[in-house]
Amino acid sequence: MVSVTLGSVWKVRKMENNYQLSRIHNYVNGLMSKEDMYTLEREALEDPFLQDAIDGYRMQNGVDAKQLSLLQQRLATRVEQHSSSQHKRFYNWQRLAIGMAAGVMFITVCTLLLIRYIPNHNKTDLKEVLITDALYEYDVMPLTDQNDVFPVGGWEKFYEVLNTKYANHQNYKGTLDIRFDVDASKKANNIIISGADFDNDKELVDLIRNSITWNGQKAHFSVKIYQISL
Amino acid sequence: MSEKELLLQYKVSGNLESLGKVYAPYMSLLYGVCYKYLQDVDRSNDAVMQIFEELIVKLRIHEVDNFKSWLYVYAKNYCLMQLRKDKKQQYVDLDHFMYESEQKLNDINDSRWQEQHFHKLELCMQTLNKEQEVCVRLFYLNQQCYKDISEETGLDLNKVKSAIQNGKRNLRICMESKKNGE
Repeated sequence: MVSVTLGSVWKVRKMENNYQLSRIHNYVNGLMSKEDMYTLEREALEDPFLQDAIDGYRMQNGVDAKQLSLLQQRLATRVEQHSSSQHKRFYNWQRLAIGMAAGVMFITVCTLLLIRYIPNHNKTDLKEVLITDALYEYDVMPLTDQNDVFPVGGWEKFYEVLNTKYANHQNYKGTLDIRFDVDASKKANNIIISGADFDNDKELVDLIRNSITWNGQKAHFSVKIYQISL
Repeated sequence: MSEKELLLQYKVSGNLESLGKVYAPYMSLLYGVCYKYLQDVDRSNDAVMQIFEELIVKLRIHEVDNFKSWLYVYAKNYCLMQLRKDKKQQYVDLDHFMYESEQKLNDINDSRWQEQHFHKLELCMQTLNKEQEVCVRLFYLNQQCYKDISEETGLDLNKVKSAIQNGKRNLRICMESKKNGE
């Protein structure tokens, strides 16, 4: 937009300029009528700038329009260079301002969240322990003859792990089908869980593998989860 | 926007587009002036650009009343400085410069002349040397162009030009002294 208006202004001025230039051209090359020559000479007597320019072009034996338009281009490039570097600087300032504003907002939001979250955090923790203890019960049933596993510490240990470490899941009820193998170090491998939207639930798989050690070799059992209403 | 407004805008904002708009129309005249003194295409091109570079600095500091005359004097001084740097290449006829610088200063006073002064003009015409007198008459009274005068008098074209320029200056000096002597 700016460059368009700039272009048109330049064009107008260039035309005035070219008018003078074409007069000089015609004068130097003897293409002018005597009256026009006189008028230009008269003007030049009052305008040493014009006189010198005429003298110069006469010495050069004429006007080289191509070379002059190259010179105009050089100027345009020079001006553009400057304004683009100015824009760059301008954008940098803008970016800096936006960055700073974003930074301030981020810190504010973080502070507000911390203020809100920290006092509530301990309360909800306490509640969860109380509620989950009371709300769920589990029933484990072997599903095949090959199932020969039981947790080190007994099934109570398994329930306890589910209650304390896996208490945050929503809609925590239904029947799960759990299969796995137990290796020499009593850890569960190849764990497959299905049923009640718990299909291979990563958190549960981790609990079975890492929080409980198992006696036996092969597991295939169901866990029925009851939600007890208080 | 006028030239003056653009220059003011540049002085305040430092926006090169404004200065470029003012400068561009003068470039071809400037090139001619530079060529007159430097007599080399590349040097003249560079001089026009270099003068622009110098204006970038100068015009943020100074306010200029008559940009065209100021620019002309500035450009000429620039070229003369260039020539001074390489003294071996002196092409320039110094009388010429004297005349033109003076002329610039005198232009403003032109309106002071009134009808009653013009009878003195004829007296002053007779104080000029023959060459100057003939050339000035043919130019100002007969309105003949340099070429015709050159043909008519047999004088070289450049000689005609400087005879008219010098004749005009001498006339002015003569008229001034007569007026002050009243």
